[in-house]
Amino acid sequence: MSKTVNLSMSQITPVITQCIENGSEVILTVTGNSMRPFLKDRRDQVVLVKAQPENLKVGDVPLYCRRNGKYVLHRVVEANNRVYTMLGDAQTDKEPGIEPDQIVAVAKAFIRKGKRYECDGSAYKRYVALWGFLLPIRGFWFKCYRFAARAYRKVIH
Amino acid sequence: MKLKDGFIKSKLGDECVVVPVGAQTVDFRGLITLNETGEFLWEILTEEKTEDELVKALLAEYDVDEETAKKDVHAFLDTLSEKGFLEENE
Repeated sequence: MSKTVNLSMSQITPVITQCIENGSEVILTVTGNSMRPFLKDRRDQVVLVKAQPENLKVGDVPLYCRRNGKYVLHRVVEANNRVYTMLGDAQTDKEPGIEPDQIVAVAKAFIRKGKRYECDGSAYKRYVALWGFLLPIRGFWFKCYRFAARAYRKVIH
Repeated sequence: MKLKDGFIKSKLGDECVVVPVGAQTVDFRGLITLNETGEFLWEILTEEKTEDELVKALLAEYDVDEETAKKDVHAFLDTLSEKGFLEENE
């Protein structure tokens, strides 16, 4: 017998912290679509481990807590003097000013459609490189995608 | 039998969840939740107990007939054993 229990991040963060402090990796299902196309809401998972909050690199995907208490999993796109700028893969507006005390954990791998991709693996690295390369045209790309999706729906219905 | 070390019972909102904090991988998709009687039995199993002792404890604490208590304890132990949570001494 199994059931699905939805828990808020503020409820489970102390437990996550305890697990990763013990050296465990923690698997969580992602919610929200700000990391699409790679991660889809409630379909995919992230594998989290203990982070070195003062030593994150561009491309790392930490779990961090905003000053308003909301927990977010986004990618580091700039790192200057231990202050980070974040951006979800499906976003175009950067979020600057994230500091080490806000970092809870960092992604070690992702589970996409049931398949595990390590962050130091070549397939994942290719995706990150491509997505970073496409960043300047990301907004334009999303517009085209939405336009195509709308057109597709019109043709179908 | 008794519970292995390395588990914490944690209240997450209204749910009582068991987390294997010492495990290499803690998958939040596969955590077990405990209901009230599960929580009761879990506490008792932190020390070495036999199945009979668990049934007796359940009968003493709850208004339940012996047959149901036996069945429930057995099902509970099955789940724990299946998940590898128990240290079983023959």
